[in-house]
Amino acid sequence: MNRDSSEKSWTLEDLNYDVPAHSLRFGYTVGGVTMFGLMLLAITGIVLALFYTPSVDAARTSVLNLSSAPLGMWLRSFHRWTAEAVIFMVVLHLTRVVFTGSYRGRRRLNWLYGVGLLFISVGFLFSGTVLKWDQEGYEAYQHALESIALVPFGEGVASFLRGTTAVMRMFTTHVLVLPLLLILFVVPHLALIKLNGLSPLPGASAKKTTTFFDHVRRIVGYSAVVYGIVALLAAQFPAELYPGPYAGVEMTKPPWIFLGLYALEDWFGIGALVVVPITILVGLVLIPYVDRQANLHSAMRKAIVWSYIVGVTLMIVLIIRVGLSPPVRHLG
Amino acid sequence: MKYGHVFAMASVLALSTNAYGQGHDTHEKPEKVSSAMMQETAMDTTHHESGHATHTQAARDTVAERDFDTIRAGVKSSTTFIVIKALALAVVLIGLGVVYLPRKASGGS
Repeated sequence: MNRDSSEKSWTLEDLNYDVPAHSLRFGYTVGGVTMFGLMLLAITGIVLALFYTPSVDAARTSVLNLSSAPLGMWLRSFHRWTAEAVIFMVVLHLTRVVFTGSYRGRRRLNWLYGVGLLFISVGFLFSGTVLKWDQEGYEAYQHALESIALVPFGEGVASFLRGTTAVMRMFTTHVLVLPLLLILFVVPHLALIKLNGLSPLPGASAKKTTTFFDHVRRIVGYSAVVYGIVALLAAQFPAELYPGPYAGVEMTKPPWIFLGLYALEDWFGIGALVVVPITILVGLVLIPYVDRQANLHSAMRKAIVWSYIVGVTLMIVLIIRVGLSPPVRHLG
Repeated sequence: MKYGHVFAMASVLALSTNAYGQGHDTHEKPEKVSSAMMQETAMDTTHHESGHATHTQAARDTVAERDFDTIRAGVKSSTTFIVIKALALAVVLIGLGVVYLPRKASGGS
């Protein structure tokens, strides 16, 4: 007796559908490698939270106590290094999407989810930096408060975030608000990739295929290389824990992704911390609306790619300059 | 790497410029941030005139701050860190094997 296909149980093999052969290229696995990093961050973050005390007076001490054990020191370092690696992977992923024009047509919505995920990732790195509540965390927090106060209704938000509950509110943001936002953006991001199919590689044959399991295997392979190196770096260069925090001084620099902003803040004042991220956000959101033609060699597309190159190059220049320079005082 | 030369040139330009950000004078005395100070900050939004860290707190902090470098130096040479480095290296090699070693075709065309 033949059974209806709807009665057949799902098996793992049902997931092993055909995908384009270029899905094995590194550029097309970066999103997956980023996802792998986010899972590592969730696991290590849960363990770290078990040893963390979210209060102004005890946060740094709890981090110090955790760091007293070799495994605790490495775990915190690995969490920090992985966070920075994930941001780097997100930027690489974004760059690949821009260069292959994979943001157009039906993939426009997915581009917007991706831009949202970039900002959520940066939010994770920022809030995680504050949680240590050492000099670096305190200075980062003060910069955020001063810049939030500049936007409409921002003074009220800044007042809400000031005070003895500052660390508790940042902790809640880091472990509840941002993870919830992450889920709200990641799930449709992945669903739309499945719905639209993997974006094409310009010039590659669409007929040549491999399997989804091979694609996943390649992602796991690259992830092992990337996060294995991150694990080595975490052991060789354990994450810093600065003294303090002390008010009235600025003696640290932020994580690398913020160094460009740091330079612009020095030139244009604290307002740069509001204007520049908003400009980047608007610029990225507008890309698929400005470049709507199917032709990969159109003048508009070339303008988009070159604008992106100039923007990223400018940020790299600023990051290197600030990285080689001593800290500068901005507040007060 | 069609655009590689652009990034390379930008990096060379950045390195050849003068050192950035020389001045960061601090005329105010640093004050330890405590919950009492944060409470005052929340009320008057200025954080430069307050600061009530106790002598006990300051002494404890001084010990703790000195401890971090000592702790870090200690754990870096611990057996745990040596084992972690060996495991991490093994993970990297396994990953390279997964990516680059040829394997039997499992489907597709």
